[in-house]
Amino acid sequence: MNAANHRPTEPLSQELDDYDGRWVAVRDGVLVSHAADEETLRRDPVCRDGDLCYPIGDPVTGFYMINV
Amino acid sequence: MANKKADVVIVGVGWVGGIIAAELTKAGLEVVGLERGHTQHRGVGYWDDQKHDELRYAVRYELFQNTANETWTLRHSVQENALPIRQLGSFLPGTGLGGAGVHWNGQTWRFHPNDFTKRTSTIERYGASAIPAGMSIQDWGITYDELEPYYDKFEYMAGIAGKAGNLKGKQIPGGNVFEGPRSREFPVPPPPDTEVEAMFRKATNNLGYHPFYAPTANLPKTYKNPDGVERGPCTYCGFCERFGCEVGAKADPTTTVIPVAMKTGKFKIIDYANAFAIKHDGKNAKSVLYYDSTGRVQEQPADVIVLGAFVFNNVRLLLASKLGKQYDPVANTGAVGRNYAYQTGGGGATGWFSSREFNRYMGSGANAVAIDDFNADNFDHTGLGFIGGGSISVGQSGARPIQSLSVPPGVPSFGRDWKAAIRKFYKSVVSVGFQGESPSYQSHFLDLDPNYRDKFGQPLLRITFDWEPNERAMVAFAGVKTLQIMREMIPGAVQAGTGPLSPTAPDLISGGAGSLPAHYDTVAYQSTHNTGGAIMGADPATSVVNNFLQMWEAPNVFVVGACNFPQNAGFNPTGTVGALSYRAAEGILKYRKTGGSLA
Repeated sequence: MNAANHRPTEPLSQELDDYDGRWVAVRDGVLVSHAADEETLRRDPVCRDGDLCYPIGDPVTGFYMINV
Repeated sequence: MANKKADVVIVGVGWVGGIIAAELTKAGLEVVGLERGHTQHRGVGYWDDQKHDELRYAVRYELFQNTANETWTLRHSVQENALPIRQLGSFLPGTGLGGAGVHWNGQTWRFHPNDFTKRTSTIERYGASAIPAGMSIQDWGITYDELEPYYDKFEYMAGIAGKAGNLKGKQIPGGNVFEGPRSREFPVPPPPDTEVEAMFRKATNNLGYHPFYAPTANLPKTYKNPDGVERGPCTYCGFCERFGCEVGAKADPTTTVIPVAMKTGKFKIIDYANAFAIKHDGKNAKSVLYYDSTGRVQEQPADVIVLGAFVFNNVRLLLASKLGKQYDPVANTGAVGRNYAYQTGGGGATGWFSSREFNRYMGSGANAVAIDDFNADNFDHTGLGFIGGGSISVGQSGARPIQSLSVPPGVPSFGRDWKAAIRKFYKSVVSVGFQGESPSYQSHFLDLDPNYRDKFGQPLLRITFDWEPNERAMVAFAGVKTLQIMREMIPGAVQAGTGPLSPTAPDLISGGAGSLPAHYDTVAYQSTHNTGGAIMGADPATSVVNNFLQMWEAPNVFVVGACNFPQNAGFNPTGTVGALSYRAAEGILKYRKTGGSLA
């Protein structure tokens, strides 16, 4: 699944569980695009400057404040 | 029959209850403390026969709230049905005398001046549009300068070790140059850096940041406080968080303020007392109702009532007692339960050294070097798409044998390869951690659950909370910064998880843009820095208490703790909770003289 292969007419799911491990772009609280990584997401023409882009999923590391 | 009337009754005897009890009894008042747990650890030595039992304290949670008796329900939005949290995980509220002040790590921060004017400062610098829709950040109704004397009092009582970064407005290199002005230096100098802390200090200096020793309540040397309480130095055993300190080096209510209150002969503690309601006439409170150790209802009348329990318990008592106007998230009216917030992690980085060892088993809970360059509004947020930030640090808090076993990504979680990785990396892993702000939102709040009850039949508190886009963007940003620092600390390291481990494996590194799960989850421990629900402010329409922590609706009720925070900062809360406690104690004494509202 990536941003390039979802049909533009098909509304994107707004449930973040569907994007675990992926990057999403959010505009005015609405998820507008998603991709496997940040670079691909920002190349998506749907993604604009000013969209909030971030990964979804458990942190890679360091969720604890001090103890690993 | 009711108990003998006291001048003041305090619900919960942790840092808040202990500080207020000490201050009021020293002033001659008769104070009763209602503690739902048992009386523990009234002096150094109590823990000697049970220390360092990780299974008992850290895994089986002996010092924490028992969820079989009382818990919370959680939902992510008002559209969901909340379900009970059956096991502790995400946060660990303490129980027993001293409360969370017994099992804390000892990190003792002051919030920044602009944390207290969050809404105003954000609008002034970036415009109102920088605050996302639905975010309900507020000013505190008190400034840093007004709170500074109370911070100072807490730090000198607890013997906080550190180095000032701002003395009376003059920036001091080596301290936290982003902090607000201090009226004087810390009471105790910081200990020397450990090896990993020295590496972090060098790396962050190289990158142009401003490292400093994080303020700690773990004494590096003997200290006698203004009350005459003397405590000895830390042995760096590494058993702080989730444990009581067997040598009394960690500042703790049971070794500092509670003995001072007890010594006056005017402080009575009733343990196994589960407060469930406040009797009041709508303007003044009369007494606290509680279940005693046998389950019978008892009543403790007092002239002044202080709620000094953990965030959730204070709010639950107000809601159950119908004291104050309950928050309505749809109409955005009412204040009790409003602005629940938490603490945001998820932006750390980790390095596994192939040929260096750091004696990680030694340490103390708050032993850390930090930078504040990416906290609060200490950096320009223009164009970043989020507001807020957090503290970044490397700590050496010990490495207990059960829960401190970190292996690189890609290593199996059991079996021969896992054991080999543990042997290789137990003493060689370093983490750069991020502790982020948690802004408040109109949709994050606390109320009473309509379906679930505790063992006494009282409604559980319901938490409505989830991660929001602002914090997700903040954490993604933070993860890039922590990885940058880690790369500077461990140059030449390769990305972990990209190849098999071998005896000749190079240094490994893991990190990158930080992330948060699709929804807030309570299973893994994250932070016990829950805040809000009985927030302070200058407007009775949007706050529960004024800046003396006195209820707007009931002037003889003071509600004190992290529940007062209108939103949470990128720091641990205890320093601010301590300062607010001293402020409240002063307010109570003032109220006893003048009566009425202090605001």
